[in-house]
Amino acid sequence: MKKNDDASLKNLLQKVELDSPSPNFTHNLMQQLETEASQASAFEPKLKALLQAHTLQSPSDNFTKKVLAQTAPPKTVYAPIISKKAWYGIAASVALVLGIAILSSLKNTPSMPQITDLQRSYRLPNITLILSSVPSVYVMGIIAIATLLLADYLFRYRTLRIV
Amino acid sequence: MENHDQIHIDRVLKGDHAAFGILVEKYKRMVYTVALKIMDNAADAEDIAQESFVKAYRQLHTFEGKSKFSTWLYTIVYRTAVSKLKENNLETQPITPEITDQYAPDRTMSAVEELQASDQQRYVRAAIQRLPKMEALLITLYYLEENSVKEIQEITGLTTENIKVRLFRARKKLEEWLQFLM
Repeated sequence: MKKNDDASLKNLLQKVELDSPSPNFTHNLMQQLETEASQASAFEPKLKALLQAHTLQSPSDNFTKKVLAQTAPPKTVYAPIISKKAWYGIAASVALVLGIAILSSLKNTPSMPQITDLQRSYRLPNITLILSSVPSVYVMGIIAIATLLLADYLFRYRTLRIV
Repeated sequence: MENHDQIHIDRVLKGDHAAFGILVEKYKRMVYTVALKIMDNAADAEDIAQESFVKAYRQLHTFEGKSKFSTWLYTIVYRTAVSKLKENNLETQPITPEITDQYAPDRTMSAVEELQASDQQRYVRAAIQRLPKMEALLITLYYLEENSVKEIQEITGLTTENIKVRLFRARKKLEEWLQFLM
């Protein structure tokens, strides 16, 4: 019943003619749109110029510096290959070897070669004599250690980096 | 202009760190302005601008040159700023389409202030600040950097239609507010 009422009301309303605007409605509307479009196109470059001139804002003065500091590659720091402790160890070993050599040279005085007059007059320590009295094993040991340290230095000093 | 960028980019990729300084100098104002449009706070905007440049530097090897360097850079700025906003959403408004349609507080100057303000800049900046955040950003990208709608779409992820509608709305408002300056 209600459905029929709705349908008849719809039919009735559809029979009523729609109201018409004034005869030149479309013409007026198109004119208005054209005016608006021309105003907008005239406005566009002015707005653009205005915005470009005044909108950009600047960060702090040292902005670039801060960014570059954050993006900078890490600095290369060369560290000594032979640490201080190692140097002390080497010095102690050398001192020990020399000490042993001096002591052994004092004990074996008769077998020592003759000291020249010049050496005696200046009372210089005769290093040659002392070294000649060092057992050859010690000398070989010192030379081997020195060679290894030198090789280690040459191979690694360019590549070791502390970041 | 963009070819020059590529030259600097290649230099940076070859290890010339100073070349990145040239790119920073060239784009810092626009990057900062874009960040400011989203963050609403000078200190946060500067942090975002810095962070964006650092990200750009670290990801420079991924830049394929398919788009303009500036478009790629502004995409980083936009995403960095939006994710920062999400982190701080208790303090700031997120830049979602729903909320961005809300107007920022009306900062229209009083009549006396208007008389005192001789600088056009104040009016223009105030007008842009009155726009919703997203509209202000789109206007900035469209007019200042002359990005195309497609490039803006790449930066913001909005649809072309959405961008055009928002640009139209923003343009209308600015037309109304700034008419006396033109």
